[in-house]
Amino acid sequence: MLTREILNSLLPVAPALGLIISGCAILIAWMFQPQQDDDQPRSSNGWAWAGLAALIVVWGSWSFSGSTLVDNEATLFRSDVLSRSGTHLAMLAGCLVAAITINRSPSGFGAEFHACLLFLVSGLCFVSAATDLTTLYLGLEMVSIPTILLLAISRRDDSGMESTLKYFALSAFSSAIFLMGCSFLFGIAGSTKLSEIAASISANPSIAAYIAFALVLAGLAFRVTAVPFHFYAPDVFSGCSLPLGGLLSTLPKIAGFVAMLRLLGGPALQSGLAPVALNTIVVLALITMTVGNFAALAQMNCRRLLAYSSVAHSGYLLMGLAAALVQGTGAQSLIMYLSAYVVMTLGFFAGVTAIFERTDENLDLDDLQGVTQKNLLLGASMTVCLLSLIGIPITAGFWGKFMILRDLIAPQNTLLLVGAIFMVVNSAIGAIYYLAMLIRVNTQKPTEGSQAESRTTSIVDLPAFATCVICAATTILWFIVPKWM
Amino acid sequence: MSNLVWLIPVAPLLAMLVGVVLCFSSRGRESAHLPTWVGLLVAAVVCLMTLLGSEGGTTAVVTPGYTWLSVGSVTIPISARLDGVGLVQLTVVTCISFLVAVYAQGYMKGDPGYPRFFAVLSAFVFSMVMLVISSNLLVLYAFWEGVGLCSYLLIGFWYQRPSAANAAMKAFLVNRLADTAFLAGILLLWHGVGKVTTSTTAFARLDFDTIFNVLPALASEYPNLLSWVGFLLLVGAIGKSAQFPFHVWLPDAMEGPTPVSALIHAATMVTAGVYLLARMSPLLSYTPEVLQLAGWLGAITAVIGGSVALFQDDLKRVLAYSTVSQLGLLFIAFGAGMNPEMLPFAVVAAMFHLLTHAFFKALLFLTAGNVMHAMGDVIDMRKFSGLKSVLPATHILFLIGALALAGVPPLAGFWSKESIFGLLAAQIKDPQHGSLFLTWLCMGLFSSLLTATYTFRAYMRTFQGEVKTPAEAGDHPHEATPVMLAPLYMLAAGSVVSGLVIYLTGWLDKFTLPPETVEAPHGSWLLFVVSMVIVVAGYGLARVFPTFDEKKSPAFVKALANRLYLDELFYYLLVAPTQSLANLVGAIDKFVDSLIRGVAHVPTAAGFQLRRMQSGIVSSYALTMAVGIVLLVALAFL
Repeated sequence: MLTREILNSLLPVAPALGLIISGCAILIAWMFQPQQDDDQPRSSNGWAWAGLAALIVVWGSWSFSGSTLVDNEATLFRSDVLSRSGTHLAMLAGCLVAAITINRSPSGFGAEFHACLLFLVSGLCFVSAATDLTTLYLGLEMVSIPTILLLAISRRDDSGMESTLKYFALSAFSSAIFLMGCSFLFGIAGSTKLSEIAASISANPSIAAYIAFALVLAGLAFRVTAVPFHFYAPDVFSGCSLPLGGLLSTLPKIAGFVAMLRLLGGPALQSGLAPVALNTIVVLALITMTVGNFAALAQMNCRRLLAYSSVAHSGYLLMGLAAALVQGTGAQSLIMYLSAYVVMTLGFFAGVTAIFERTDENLDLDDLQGVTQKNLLLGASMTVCLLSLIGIPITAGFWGKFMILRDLIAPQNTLLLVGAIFMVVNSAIGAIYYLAMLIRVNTQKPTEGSQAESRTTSIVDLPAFATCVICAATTILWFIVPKWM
Repeated sequence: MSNLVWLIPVAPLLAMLVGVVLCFSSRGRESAHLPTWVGLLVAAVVCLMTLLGSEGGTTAVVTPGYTWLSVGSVTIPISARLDGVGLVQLTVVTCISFLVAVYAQGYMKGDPGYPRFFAVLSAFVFSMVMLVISSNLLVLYAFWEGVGLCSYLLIGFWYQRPSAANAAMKAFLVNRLADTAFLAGILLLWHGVGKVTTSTTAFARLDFDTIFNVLPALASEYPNLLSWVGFLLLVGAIGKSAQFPFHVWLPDAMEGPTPVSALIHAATMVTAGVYLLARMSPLLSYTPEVLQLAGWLGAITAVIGGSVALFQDDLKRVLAYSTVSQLGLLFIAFGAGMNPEMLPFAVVAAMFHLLTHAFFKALLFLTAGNVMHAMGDVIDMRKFSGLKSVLPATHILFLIGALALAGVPPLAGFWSKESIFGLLAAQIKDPQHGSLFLTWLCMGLFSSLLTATYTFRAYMRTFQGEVKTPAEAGDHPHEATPVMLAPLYMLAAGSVVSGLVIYLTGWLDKFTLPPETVEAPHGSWLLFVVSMVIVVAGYGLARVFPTFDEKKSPAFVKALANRLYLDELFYYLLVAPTQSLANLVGAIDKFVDSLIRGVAHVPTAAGFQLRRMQSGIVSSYALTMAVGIVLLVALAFL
């Protein structure tokens, strides 16, 4: 009887368990592989395909069976709209990252790399289904620790080590802050259950509750690279391999926003903390998008630019969070923006990965020149992703911005209206640097002596190329059929 | 049947997608016509089945299609709304398009842009079909622009030729000018509907059903607004339907491949404006002054088009101006609907002439295409003559088209013109506007005379007389291939019988008239006789009409040969002032720009400042984060 109950309570995180089992299987299988000399790098292709296959199988089987689950808040994990959308997002991003890295897993570490990726995605599933502070924190750590491992094994030169260490130290710092917030919450409510915490706060919104809220928000703000918790992003992006940049700008961000929705999106904040929380989040959002965009404008370095662009998008997403808090009707627009963001960002990262032999060297904007000239399909796909990042119609990014703006304008709330105006202005500023990339991708001939000029073939990485095309196609498809987002 | 409605736009859409893929593939280019053929055939068959299976009546059937977006209070459904007028228009569009596509297989063979042509052709038919069936004015406008875009692509199909590129640009810009007014009209109407009803969502306010429901309220509360809406919609319509003064783009559009001229500039696209008026006729029945304006514009266009056509040497241009003048007749028909009880009959008459005109004008254009093909792309009537023996099949087909256009009974054109003139003649005794109707009738009859003259003249110059072929034609000019002739025979059959059948059976009435109306006014015997006399006179005039030498002719001939200098007028009235305005604005802009540039430096400078904070030292990052936490907590206390 007891076993059955335990099993039932684990059903909402079945995909996560499936991924953990597959990850372990990959690690065990790797142990049995005959050892080879270190100076002869082993092909890590097989592991990559195994990881991707595991993701797709788990995702597919869960999608076809998971929707009938009973939502039970009393257990550690629940199965509601947010957990389902969170899991879908995690699986989507995981699949895309796995696909980009098929040819790009670090030599000698293929099995570990892809096992870690599976663990990371499973952590995201835990976060989205958590009903308890403990499981939520567990999930968040299951996202950040594999991320550190991935950073450490994929680039082992000095700058790689530096960025890993930076990420490690700051991530630990932010975890500690988050944990401190959690302990406050536990102190207020006397329970770790999110529902009970919410009930207790809404009954008695105390000063301690404000502090707890601020601490928790600060801890999560690191995951989503909100200003001023973003400083690690450009340094780490420029010190890691390109596909990992894609990973860093999507997976932790999903984790952060889903966790925010889990913690703050409940009824507690509606009644208890709403005005305060709203002010804080809107201010954070405005600073984040403005700093991100302005810093990106000054960048000629492609990786750092993408890091700042990811910061700016966090600002828009935080505005979506604010709108969701005010409306209280769930966070459909935020989820839509996140889905669009995942696909367009990873699509562009995939496109850049596809054309560069080495993904860890310095990349200037000018190195993007003339992609379309050499390969029409790749150039077109990257263009679509960039248009989507700007938020231009015919792409999913348009719906993302449109929905968030609509939610900001609809409630007739002055603060949100100001936020909406800021968001529009910021989108226009953001368009400048996306267009700068777009122009380089499409028209300019490579300048002599640049990396772009020395590229002989246009595509060096077929799976990444395919991923880019798939992402671009999805972006357009979602514009036509937004309900699939 | 209603489920099948969506096949009509979807089939060309799929054809377009396949066509686009073929454009980029290296194989299968020479069979690129197949997807278009299949798509258009499916659409045409479904249309015909629906039309023949329909019991008629004017009630519209709304078929929900695809809900584009449905989030919260925002719902954007795209539905098909099909009534009698729409069904007739749809059938004309799909059938003629299919025949033209068949013809184009032969005509375009060997062109390097072969797949592109068929892909755009499918896209054009898709847009046109969506324009006809959309249940919302805004969706209609979207596809209205889609049609404009496709026509730009097709007119400028041979974009390497500067003349084609310019013609495409001209067509697009002139249409844009009119479309701006159309858009303003739509927004004004949206605003107005919002004032009298609050029950619908923002998007549904422009549904035709909603608009028609609130019309009485709108007319009683905001009559001026309604007049403005009607006027702006009319401007949009005359842009697309090439009426004075927006007709200047149509003759230039002959730079496109001939099948395009036949399809877009004779049978389908230019009828979009007429269709818009027919669709909005419930609204226009409240604004007789707009219909009066339509009538005047139509009458002026009919006369101008006919006169200019008389003095053109380019066979395709003759046909183009003929199209302009025939469309003028359609607008006269709308003018004849000034009295609200007559408006349904006006719509019937307009749709009737639209239908027959589609048959014989497509036929004429395509036979002109045959001539052009045989003459090595020469279309100047001064350079060839007597082609009767050279192109026998084309000769007969052209003759049929010409007779139908000239209005020789019992061919199609006679009957449909008759129904327009009959409508006017029946209202001559109208106490209020009688003299107006009489004026339009006279102008219409005069344009008929011109039509008969230029048609016969073009026929004689091309096919009669001694055999003369230009050097470009080579030694043995050849008749068109069977695949090009087959659709022409079908069009010819339509040109012969469609008018008589529809006139005698009143078949169109059952689709376009409310069931319990009085007998439609028909022309009297006197009018029949007058029309016959006009045709004969036209023939006689054509025989004696001299060929003018450009240098030695009187001023008015020169003016007509130069299209009344309207292009130049347009240039001086619109383009030149716009350019000087643009120069002025440019100068101001430079000044403002320098200011803005200063502002633009701020973000960049700010960015560089931000970069300084990015020191790379972990402890300083952690410190900033700590400060951030303190600030967040502080914010919570504010």
